[in-house]
Amino acid sequence: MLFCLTASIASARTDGSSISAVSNYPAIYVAKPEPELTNGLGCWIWDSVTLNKQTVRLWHNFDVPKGNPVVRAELRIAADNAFKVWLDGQELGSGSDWRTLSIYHLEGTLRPGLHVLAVEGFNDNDQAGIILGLRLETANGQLIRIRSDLTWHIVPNSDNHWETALHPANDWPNASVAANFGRMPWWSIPTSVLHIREELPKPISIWQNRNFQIGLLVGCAVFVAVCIYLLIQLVSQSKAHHLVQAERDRIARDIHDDLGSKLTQLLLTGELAQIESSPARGTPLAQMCDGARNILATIDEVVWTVNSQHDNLEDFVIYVCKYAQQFLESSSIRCRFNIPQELPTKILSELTRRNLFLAMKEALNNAVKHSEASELKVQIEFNGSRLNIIVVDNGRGFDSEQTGQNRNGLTNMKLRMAEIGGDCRVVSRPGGGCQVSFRVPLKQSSFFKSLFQSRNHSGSKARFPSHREGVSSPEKTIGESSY
Amino acid sequence: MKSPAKSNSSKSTVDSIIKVALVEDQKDLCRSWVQIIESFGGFKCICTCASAEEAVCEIPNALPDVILMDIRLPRMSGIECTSRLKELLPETPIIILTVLDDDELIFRALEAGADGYLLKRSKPADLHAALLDVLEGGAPMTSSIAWRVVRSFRRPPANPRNQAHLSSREIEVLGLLSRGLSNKEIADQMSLSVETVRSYLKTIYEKLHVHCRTEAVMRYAANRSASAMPAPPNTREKFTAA
Repeated sequence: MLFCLTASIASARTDGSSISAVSNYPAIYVAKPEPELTNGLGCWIWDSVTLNKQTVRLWHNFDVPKGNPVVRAELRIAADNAFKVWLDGQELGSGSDWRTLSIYHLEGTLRPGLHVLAVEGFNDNDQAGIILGLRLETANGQLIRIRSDLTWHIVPNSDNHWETALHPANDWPNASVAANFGRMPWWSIPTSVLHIREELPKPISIWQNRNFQIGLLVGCAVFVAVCIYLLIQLVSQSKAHHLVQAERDRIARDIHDDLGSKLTQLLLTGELAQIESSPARGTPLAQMCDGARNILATIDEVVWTVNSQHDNLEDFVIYVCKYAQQFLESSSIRCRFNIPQELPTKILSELTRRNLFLAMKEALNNAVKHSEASELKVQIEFNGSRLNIIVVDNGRGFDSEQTGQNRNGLTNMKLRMAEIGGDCRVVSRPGGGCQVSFRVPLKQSSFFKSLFQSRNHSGSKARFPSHREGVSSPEKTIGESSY
Repeated sequence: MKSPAKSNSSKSTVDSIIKVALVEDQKDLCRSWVQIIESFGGFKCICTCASAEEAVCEIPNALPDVILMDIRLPRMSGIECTSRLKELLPETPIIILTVLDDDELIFRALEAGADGYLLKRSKPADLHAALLDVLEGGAPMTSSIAWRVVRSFRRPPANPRNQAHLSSREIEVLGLLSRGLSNKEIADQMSLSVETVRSYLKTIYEKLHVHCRTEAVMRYAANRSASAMPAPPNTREKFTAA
């Protein structure tokens, strides 16, 4: 016995260094193996056949009950000739001396649920076996023991990921008992004991969780993709916006340069013919000249509407006032304006401008035709984000209640205002003049829009930059103002 | 500052025939204009130019009483041409001719020194009236132009050295004009004669021109005239005067 003890000390010292080199775990050596160390061990198990240079895989699962934390866990294992052990697919360690009992302290790793213990044994020659015992102690004193016995399964060497499989496959046979504990040729007391304490795994932070990391990565990728998509949308939209503007400007320029000058030439020829023949007023020649003049005025309106330079409130107000003054010049109605000197910088789309202008025109037309007024006032005001245009005359008026709001001209005005999200109100009573109010919501000129606007303005500062050349090469002008 | 005497003398020597210079790049239109202008009686087209460059070169030599200027010209625009001619012939009135009733374009021409403007589609009688009006020192102004003038003076001058301020009376005239009143109505309301109102408008145009004039344009004009022309216009002017 004394001899045995000294031998075990020697063997522990000599073997210790080689084992600790294999294992990553800090090891503590116990000089004197105590008898209770072998408590809870099963029997030596192996495959039904024993061969030289044989690898045998042993597999067993066990359950840790919920609501009952494991406070102590020890796995004791020895193998002839060598073993490697995994818990839940994670390698615990290995050993290659059949006389040494390795004790793994597993507190903290075993959470409630199903666990898998997997052992790979290797036999160099002659007899082979693996002996082990897992002893779990829960907080309320319950003991769970797993021993090496016939309930273990032998896993065929061809199977992959067997060390993580939670349930045995059908073709996994049960293990065979090579020898009961204490029987020859193996020990009843190990010559040395190796304690291996696993360092408590640090609680994994959420950002260290693999799934979380993958999720985060995917999230980032999706975000970047969405950003790129939106950016492309924005760029293409602004490109389209520029192209439309450039095209509108080109149309305006073409109308002006071609149609405008040719018609002017025609008009002047007509005027000359009139001068030379000096006919009385109202002759066909004079009518023709007046017709040409009207067409030129209409061209003016079209060019003004189409030209994107005028997509702003200020140009609109100026244009409308000028139109009103010119329109009423030939009538007996005086025209008065009430316009704030400072107009806010707002974008007025072509649609809004056109509809608002045509509605205004209708109102002026009605005044000249029906009102018999001596004065007409155009009042423009801003009420927060609303533009109000009020046309008041001092004419004979009509009963707006009785006539209803359904007269042709009024319907037209209402339709035009509805198209741009505004409304139109006509208030009149016999002898009390007539008041037509148009109300339109104004969009705040956003950063991007103002950016486009400013680029557009700087792009074609010289209004119709090229003269005749501009007409012959529309591609050039599009390129100029859009990029 | 030397031109008024000169232009007066030239007017009197040629039997009070008013000499007109025309800048118009389209030949057909140009011919028609000449015929129409000469049909008025008492007017003669002494110089027609097909481009602004030609105008800057020819018109100072021709010494017209009034210049009709197309706003849309190839290369140099009618606006720039107006600006340069005003430096060379500050007393000669310039009337801008335009196909398009584009307020801003017209206003830029007025800033450049034009004394009036006319739509090309105007009746010959209107052209006649405008020519006579501008020669008498009239300065036509619509409510929308008045509105723009007021705004233009709110901005700092193009060149800080060219400080021009409107008098309170001038501002009052502009205010009434932008509210839609005619010259006569303004005269009545302010207890002035129509002539005085017209002279106010003339002064306003001159101040506007000063307010918007930049030294750079003048320098550029001087450089151009020195390098591009056969002889500097000033020496030519002297030469013809002699």
